[in-house]
Amino acid sequence: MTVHVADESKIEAVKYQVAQYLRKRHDIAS
Amino acid sequence: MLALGNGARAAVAENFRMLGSDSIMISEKMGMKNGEFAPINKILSFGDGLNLISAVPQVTRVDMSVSGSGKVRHARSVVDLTFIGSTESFLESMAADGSIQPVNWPNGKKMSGKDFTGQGRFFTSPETLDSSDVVVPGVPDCARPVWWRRSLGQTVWVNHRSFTVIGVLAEVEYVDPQQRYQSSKCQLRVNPADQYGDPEIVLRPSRQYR
Repeated sequence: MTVHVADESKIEAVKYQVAQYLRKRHDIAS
Repeated sequence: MLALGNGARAAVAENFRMLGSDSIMISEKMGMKNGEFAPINKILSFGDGLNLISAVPQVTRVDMSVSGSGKVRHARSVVDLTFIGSTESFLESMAADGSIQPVNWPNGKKMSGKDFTGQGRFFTSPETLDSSDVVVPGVPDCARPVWWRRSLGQTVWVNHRSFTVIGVLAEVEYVDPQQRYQSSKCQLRVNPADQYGDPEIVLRPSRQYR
């Protein structure tokens, strides 16, 4: 899976948000 | 695909690999399982990626694909084919990759995903989300069945399930003339990563992958 981001300066924040999203969908605790 | 497990934050971070300044690749986590090196923990589904765009505002596109093989029947013709289940962005990714182009493409002219559609259209994100029974046959060449070029609008059966042909991909060639010389026309693939030399067909992912 390749995720494309609109603003490259926010890519670190997006990585965190994607991880949060996936953990929530898969019922995985942080 | 991505494997998610306990201590997920660290595991997810390990599986992010920066491809460029504006893209992130998420791959599955491999490990020993029952004595074999295999994907471990949870596997990403197509649904994960398709819903990611609405869940994270900065995400503009998610490219995903799966592959498999099976039988395709059209009228009395049955052929064994390789399938690629992909997202709508499949053609845009091919254009951006820049290693292949439609045959006789003008030198230096910019390509877009639409340029890889020879007839009809490619499927849309709503069709992917709805698991619509639509299919887009790949590049016609000497290894492919004769009905390929005139299949637009017709029904084909993929592993005993009917699909409507909504488009036919354009014939392609390598951009690099050296690669064209080294590879015969019959060996060219829509997906350059395909090493098996089988004909290809592209269809939206089925429910089993979601």
